[in-house]
Amino acid sequence: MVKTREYDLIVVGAGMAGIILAARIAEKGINSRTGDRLRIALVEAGPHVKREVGGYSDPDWRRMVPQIVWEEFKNIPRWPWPYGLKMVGGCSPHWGANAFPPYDIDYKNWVDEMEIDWTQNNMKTAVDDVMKTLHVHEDPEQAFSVGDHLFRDAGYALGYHPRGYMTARKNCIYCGFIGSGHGCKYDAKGSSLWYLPTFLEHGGELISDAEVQRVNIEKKGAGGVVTGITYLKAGQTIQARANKVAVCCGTWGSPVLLGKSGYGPKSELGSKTLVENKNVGQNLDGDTRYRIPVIFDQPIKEAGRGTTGGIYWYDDDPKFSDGTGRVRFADKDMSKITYPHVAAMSEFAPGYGKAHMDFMREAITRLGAIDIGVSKPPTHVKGWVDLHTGAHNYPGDAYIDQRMNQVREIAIEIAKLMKCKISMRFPSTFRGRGGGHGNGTCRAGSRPQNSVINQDFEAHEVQGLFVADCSSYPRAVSSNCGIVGAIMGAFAARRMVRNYFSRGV
Amino acid sequence: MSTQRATRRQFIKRTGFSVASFSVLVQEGRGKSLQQYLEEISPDLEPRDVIAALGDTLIPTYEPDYPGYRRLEKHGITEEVLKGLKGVGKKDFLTFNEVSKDFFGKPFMELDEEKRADYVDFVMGLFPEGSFGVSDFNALSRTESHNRDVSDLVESAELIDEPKELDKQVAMVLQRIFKLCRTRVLTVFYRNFPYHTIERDAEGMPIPTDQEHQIINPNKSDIITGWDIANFRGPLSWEEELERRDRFMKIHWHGEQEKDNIY
Repeated sequence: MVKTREYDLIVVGAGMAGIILAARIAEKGINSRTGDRLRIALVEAGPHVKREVGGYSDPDWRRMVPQIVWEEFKNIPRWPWPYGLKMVGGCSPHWGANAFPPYDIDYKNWVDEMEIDWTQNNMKTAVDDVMKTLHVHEDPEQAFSVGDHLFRDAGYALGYHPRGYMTARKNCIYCGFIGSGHGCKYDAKGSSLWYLPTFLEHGGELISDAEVQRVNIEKKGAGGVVTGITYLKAGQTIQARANKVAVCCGTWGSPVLLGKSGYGPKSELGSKTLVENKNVGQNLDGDTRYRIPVIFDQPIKEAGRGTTGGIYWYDDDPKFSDGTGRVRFADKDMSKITYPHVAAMSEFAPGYGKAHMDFMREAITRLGAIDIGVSKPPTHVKGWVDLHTGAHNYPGDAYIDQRMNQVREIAIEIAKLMKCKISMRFPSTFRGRGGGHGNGTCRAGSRPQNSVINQDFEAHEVQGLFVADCSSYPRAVSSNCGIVGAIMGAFAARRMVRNYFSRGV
Repeated sequence: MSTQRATRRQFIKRTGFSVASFSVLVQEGRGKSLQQYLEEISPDLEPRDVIAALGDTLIPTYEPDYPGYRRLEKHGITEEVLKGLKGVGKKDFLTFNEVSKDFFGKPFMELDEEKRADYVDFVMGLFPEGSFGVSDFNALSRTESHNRDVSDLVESAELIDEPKELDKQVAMVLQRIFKLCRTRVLTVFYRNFPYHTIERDAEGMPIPTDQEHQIINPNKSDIITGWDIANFRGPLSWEEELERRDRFMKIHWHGEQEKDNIY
């Protein structure tokens, strides 16, 4: 049985970007013809875990998520392991809360390469919105571990400018369970859920446990026009009508949904192509990272507890003025929790016997890692997402291999300065290993020949179709992608309100 | 690859074998074949018994300082290990047991504790250098290829004294069994077995040990577990939460260090 509902706007995906987009449009937008409050649906495939009295740490949530070692997630049928998690809030309730906004060079790349107006100045209000709401700040020095201090001192000694990680948290007691996919008992980690009350208070309708099958597109000339979505909920197929649909399903999910809707490259979609755009699912950009294990002779952190996200700095390749080859150095696990079963399998661990158990007595306080990674690969290196399976591929490049080997030498110098032992294992190539913190699979640009959406987040060929998430930004940023996805939601909301949901349009 | 001549001492130095009493030559078609071993194995032996013996060797028990794997047998640790051992069959375990006879005189299950450890050393010697217990980066010369497979070196060496021979296929079975069992045994043990899961109600919801503060900590004090050995406390107690709250409330979040941070 098919039911039908009607809205002014449907947002697909209540994750990092979708909730923020929906909340800000619900709050600031109006029906441009009538001046009425907008009817907005926020549709999410996963469940909504809500509490009965204020906030988002209801007894159900608190019992289920906090204080559970991360393997426990695998045993919860309702919520599969977080890296495939579908729920209202998306990744944000269980991310590590590392929150790096774009840097100058990132904005410059977007503007120069794709001829869009995403300047730092134009995006500032959106960035401020997310940074303030999620309480993004540099980790306080008082929370640094011994390992953090050692790493920072090594960075200074090598002439860099080390900083504490930017993290999104409030009222954190630094228990350490913020990372590795844990939920937080007190919702201390900045989460897109913090925007949800705004959405609901302004009349938004949250539809959870609803899997969107496709965005409904009608052919119009050479392009198309959006008429709504089709989704499944509780075994029923439901049609929701709207002439504006914003897809916020992430770098991997958004291009797949567009493909299911008949929007994408004919070479992949074949006879199911309704409107062609060769860039849907293409142009996957992202970082190539590698974690080099180290071990100290003395404890460098508290056993089984964590403090900060770590220390980081950048190393730029002087051969490039556009940031290509930018590498981020970061200390990993030098202040975060190391779990005993992970330490037991460390390559520093003896094979077996008494020696192994002796190693284990202090291992979780002495193990760490130096994380190195090319954040900004060369512009010609792009991966792609398979629009049928969602699998993604990233080819890598000789330059990335060479750059990773180059900075590995620096990592060895850092280890010497920290007086720790460093693993000498290192991949012979990074081809096929990159594309982390992915972006660009529905990228923005001024021309349909090289992009999917315009600078206002609307699809070039399909009227009323928007994409706002990590897939939207066209080139990898200097650091993690989570907060950038959130910023995309906030920025797209402002553009959509300006263009469609305000008086005088 | 050219065949090289090496003394046993040079051979051991190059390959990193730690088996003291003999050297081993691993090569395709040398030594007893996998098929020959399969014909000789005792079908009565159960993989469970091999895993239990291997677990006891990997995490030995010497009370009171080394509370090892054996103590947790009565709680079913070997059954837990078995649950996660995918991709290996009974024949693999039986081969692992049988090969020991040709190098140490008896099948693995019939060896005493010390000889079982020797057999484990022997199997570990089949892995690339640095696979277990890398202790010092200076010890690994950076002019050498660290990713090179030791079996290449083993294959290329022609020993002056007479080495024992091991067929490469058999060696691969030993490597696979050892790697999987070691990973599974250590992982289960150090995941806090037998308190590796939290208690749940009929609907699968975790049951807090402290209703007022919703504390869920699976760790208990009646058995020494892998967490205890590693000094991992698990989730926080309420008292610890209070202590940390008090400590971190005193942090001035936007102090000197943030003067050039616009947020």
